[in-house]
Amino acid sequence: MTEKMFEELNHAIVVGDIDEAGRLATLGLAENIDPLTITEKGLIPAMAIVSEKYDKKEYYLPQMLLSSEAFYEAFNILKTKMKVESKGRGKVLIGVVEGDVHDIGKNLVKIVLEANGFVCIDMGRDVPIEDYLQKVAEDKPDFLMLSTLMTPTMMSMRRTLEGLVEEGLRDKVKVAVGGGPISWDFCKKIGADFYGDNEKDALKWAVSEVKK
Amino acid sequence: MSTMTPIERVVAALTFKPSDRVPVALYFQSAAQHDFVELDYTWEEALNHPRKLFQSIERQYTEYGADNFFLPIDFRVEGEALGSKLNYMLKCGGGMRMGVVNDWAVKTPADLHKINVPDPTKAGRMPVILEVIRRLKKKYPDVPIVGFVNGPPDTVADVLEGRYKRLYVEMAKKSSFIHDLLELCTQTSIAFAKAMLEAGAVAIATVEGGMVDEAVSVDQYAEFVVPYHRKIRDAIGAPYIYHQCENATPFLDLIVNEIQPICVAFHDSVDLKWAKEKYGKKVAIAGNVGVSKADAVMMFGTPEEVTAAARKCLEIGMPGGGYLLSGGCEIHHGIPPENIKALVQAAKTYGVYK
Repeated sequence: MTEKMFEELNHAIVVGDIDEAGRLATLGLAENIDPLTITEKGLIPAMAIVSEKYDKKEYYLPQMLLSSEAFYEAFNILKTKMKVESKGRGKVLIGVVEGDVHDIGKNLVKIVLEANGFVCIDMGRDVPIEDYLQKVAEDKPDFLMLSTLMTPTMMSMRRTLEGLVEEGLRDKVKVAVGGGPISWDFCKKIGADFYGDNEKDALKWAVSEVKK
Repeated sequence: MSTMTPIERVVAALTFKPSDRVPVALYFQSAAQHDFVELDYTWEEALNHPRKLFQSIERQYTEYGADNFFLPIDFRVEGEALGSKLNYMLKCGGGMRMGVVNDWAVKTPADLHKINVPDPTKAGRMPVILEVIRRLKKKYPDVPIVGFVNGPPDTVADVLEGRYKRLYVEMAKKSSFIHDLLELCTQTSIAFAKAMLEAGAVAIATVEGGMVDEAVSVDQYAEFVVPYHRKIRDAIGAPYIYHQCENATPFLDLIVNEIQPICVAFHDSVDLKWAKEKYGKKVAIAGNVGVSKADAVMMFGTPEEVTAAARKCLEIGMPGGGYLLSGGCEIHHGIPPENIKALVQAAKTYGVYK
């Protein structure tokens, strides 16, 4: 794949052309280009542009989500040919806490992390506390990222942290919290490690933690 | 001025006529959970039985003292009537047990052609709501009943598998399918609103919950929100009250000038003073004592703090009339009952017109 084709792949993702993104990813593999190289040159720059447009309010959630669909169309094709499903830069267990079904913020964080080489285990939404505890114990992720949009379910976030302590898992995983009503104050109060206002904050923090 | 009935007071406020005091109009929704706990009803049984729901709704007036009845108190009625199925979570954060959709009526565009506008006298829980309205009208003829319809995009999220995420993606694609689905949801809201008015409601209130300033642009709001609400407003032949969740500021010109509701109920993210100055002569205003993350006084404040916040709103809203005291969004289950009562009492103490 030439540089021009990387450019075309980036463009397809930025404008949300799902079919074109898939076609170009398939073409790149057919030309025996390393899927990681395609990801780094053809996908990640595109998501950075999309994120910038979102910050500048040139893009809103509809365009952002359409671009992310195009990203996944290509990424899922490339993933099938990636040699080892490794930990990437780090393994992240991510989900919306028990009692809450609002998952758009969580999905945005997941996209940005995956686009930047983290492996995400997506727990979904309204996830029982016990499921988080079990998965932390079994899969040993580097990070646990919890999200909620609603005030009443902040309590569920607190209980998840308490559960980690009770099960002796708290020092095995770094915990980030986020979502509409969450703040640094609340993060400290419940004993989490990090509060992020948006997907970029989450990425920056995760990158800085793996460098430690 | 002699004491008015709640319905006289609300009509006076909506039409900028003199009245005895500011009415308290509440979007009383999941706070009903306090009453369900006291009455020993689950959400599922209370929402599905006219007698039980009536017992809860009448407390909006008898227990809390609001100047209106507000129902339905959940957001899923239209989605359920269109064929989506609910699951009632019995254990989750904060004791929240309201139904959530777990099986959507529309999974592919082809499914849309299998669905018609439901008959409100038969579909889902609509007959329950209509029966409760009839009972309220009979027992409390002087208290205005406000029927609630979901904003069409919010109903789409209850009907379309993939919820808001899929809705947003289809919006970005500008697919005709999403406009067809919005139209179906709009016609459903119109049919339901008309049936509620026929049963005894005097006004229809609505909310835009998903199309918020952080999510969509003004252009997207103009294309996917405004025309559908305008259709409802034009079709129902009754006062239409509009609430925009989160910061409505970027959309307010469109709401006031294009949708043209009789009243805008402001979220607590909006500066009430600014809104009153800019729109207070064109449209009645309701608002906006804090119930959300932007201003959580009703959730975490003392009754005295709620009184002080309500007093500030009254000072801004009262001059010139056209003002109703209300929370900055729905009155939800995180708000203690004593703070709801403090809000109502504030209007009686500080909202009297001299």
